Amino acid sequence: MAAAYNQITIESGHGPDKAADLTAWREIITPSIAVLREMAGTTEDEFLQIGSQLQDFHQRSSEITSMANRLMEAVSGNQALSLIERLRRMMADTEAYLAAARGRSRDSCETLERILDLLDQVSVPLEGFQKMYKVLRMLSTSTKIESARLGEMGTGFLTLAMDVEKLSYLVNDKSGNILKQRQVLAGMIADNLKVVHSSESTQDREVNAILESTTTSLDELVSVNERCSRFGSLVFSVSGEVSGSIGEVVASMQSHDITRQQVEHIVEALERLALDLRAGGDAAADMGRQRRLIIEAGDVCELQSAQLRHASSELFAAVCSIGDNLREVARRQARMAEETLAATGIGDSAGHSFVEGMSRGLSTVTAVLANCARADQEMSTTMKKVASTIGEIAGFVTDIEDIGSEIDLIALNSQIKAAHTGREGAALGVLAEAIKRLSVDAVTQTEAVSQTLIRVNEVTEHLFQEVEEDNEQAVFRITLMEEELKEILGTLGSMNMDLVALLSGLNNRVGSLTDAIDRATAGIGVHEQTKRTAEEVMAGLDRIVVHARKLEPASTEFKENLRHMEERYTMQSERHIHETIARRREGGTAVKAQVAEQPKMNGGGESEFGDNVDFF
Amino acid sequence: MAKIIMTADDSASVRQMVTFTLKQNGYDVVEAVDGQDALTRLSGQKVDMLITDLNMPNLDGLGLIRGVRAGTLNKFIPIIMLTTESQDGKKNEGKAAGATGWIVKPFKPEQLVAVVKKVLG
Repeated sequence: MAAAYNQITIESGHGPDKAADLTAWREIITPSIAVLREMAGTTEDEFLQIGSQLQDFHQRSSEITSMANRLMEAVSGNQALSLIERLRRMMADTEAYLAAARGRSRDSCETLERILDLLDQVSVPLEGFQKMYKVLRMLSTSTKIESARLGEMGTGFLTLAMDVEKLSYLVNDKSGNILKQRQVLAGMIADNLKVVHSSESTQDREVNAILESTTTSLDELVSVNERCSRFGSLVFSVSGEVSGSIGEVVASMQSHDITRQQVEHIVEALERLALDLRAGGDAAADMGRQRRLIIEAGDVCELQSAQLRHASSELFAAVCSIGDNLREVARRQARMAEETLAATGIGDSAGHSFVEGMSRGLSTVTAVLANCARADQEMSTTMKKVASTIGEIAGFVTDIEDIGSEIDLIALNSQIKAAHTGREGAALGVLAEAIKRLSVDAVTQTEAVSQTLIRVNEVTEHLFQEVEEDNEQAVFRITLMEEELKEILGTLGSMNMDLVALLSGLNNRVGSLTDAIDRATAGIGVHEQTKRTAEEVMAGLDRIVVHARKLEPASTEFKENLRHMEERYTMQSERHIHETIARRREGGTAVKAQVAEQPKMNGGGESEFGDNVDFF
Repeated sequence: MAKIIMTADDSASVRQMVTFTLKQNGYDVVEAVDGQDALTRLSGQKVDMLITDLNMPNLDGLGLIRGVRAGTLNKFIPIIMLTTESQDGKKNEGKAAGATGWIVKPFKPEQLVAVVKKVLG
């Protein structure tokens, strides 16, 4: 539509031909007016659409900022601080508990090794009992032989031989039992020590790894907490920048109204010129009037072309600014989301947070604590068994002590019988002496075994009491630690759920906002259309200016003719352009670049609210 | 309860931006498409403040201000002119008609909010 009137040919003429020129110019101006009217009246819908989207973008942007704040609160708020404190205490308790458990285990092992040594010491007297058994068997046989030799006189000795034989079996049996129990006990202790020593190194490795991992998790949480505390100011700053961009968009959105008014002023000026040209196009019009009209047409078209150029470029810049600022909002929010994710330690695209790893690490602490408790329990059971076996051995020692007394009695009895028998019983007297010596040996050996076992018993009893008490305390402590750990894991789980949900929400919202802004800005074409239309109109007006100036050079002679235009201006920018063109006609040095310059809105002093605000 | 502000402007896009800015800051907004529409609405509705354009069809901003000041319901409310007009002569006319203040378009949201807060206290 606009291109058609630009095809109109203008040819220079004189006299009646000038009237034709004026008519030709009117034929350019009249459709230009229609085009400008349409331009001013039909572009607002696109602005209104951008405006309604702006509200949506602002809302979404606020939600993103709010989510970023909630993410940071989740890892740096009071809950997180309390969690850090609890984890620190938990770590200290765990370390103290594990150190104590390790100490107990070491003490128990040392004691068991000492018991093993003592049990070794029992071997020597027990071997003495075995020799005693052999001697008693021999004495019994010898007594029987001697009794047979004496015939009726030795009848009483046969009973004695039987008693000695019985005693030998008793000694063999009881000392054998003690030896057997000693071996069982030594085997049990050795096995236990072997298990403890082998599991200790594995447990130590596990415990160290867990403590190291938990320390790393705790350090990470502390580091996230510190980063997020500092990051709050960045979110605030980005939020301010986003508000600034939204503010720029709001300001730019008003350019439609400003441009519309400027275009309306251009239309009014051109309408008045068109009316004048209609009258001047009459061939009967006098030369003077035609000359004035030519100069007026040149002046008006020059001015309105400049006004239109300014209005169009301002609108173009404003719409570009709308697009740039909206994209800037998306870019800033995307950056803030990225930095939020980095600061909170949630950089994993799979939506995992460091809290998950931390929870897994802490869960294994429970397993380690349970292992330690089991090891404690096993050691306690071993100690009970040791104590019980020692008790049994002590019982056998009493039996042996009884045997010693019995040997003593038998020896005395045999001595008496030998004395009654007289010279024939002299050999039996020797046997009685031997039995007597055995009773003394038995007492010595029994005492040696008994003393050693008493020492073992003392050590075991003492240990048993300590282990029993420590174990009760440890069970209570572990229960408390497990409960605390369970609560910490619950809190971490809940924190993790919050983080993952917020992370997903934040990413989705940023992605959705960016897409929506990309779509909205890609669809903005009002500035391009306005620029094309304005350029077509300006081309027509500029052709008139060139032609008019060729016919009649610019002159200030009829500058009062333009007064009506000045009166219509509402904007400082319009007056500025007008003055610039006027100065140029008067030989000033104003150049086109100055036309595009944004003049100050308010000639008065700047108030605290800005240079475009006044209070009365 | 949120304060109510009327915006009178024949430009829908300007009304949209004024409404957007004020609603974001917790105000309720009533829109009028020109001076006459505003005056009609204000005769039956109490508002806390009026923000009006100068050049509008049917009744311009100055006529609107005079009408409001001559009425009863909203006689003493603060009135801010929001216009492209920047000449001191026009500002003086606004002042004489009873305007409280003058903002030359385009406004920045923070400016408008600061002005509103100042006049509404």
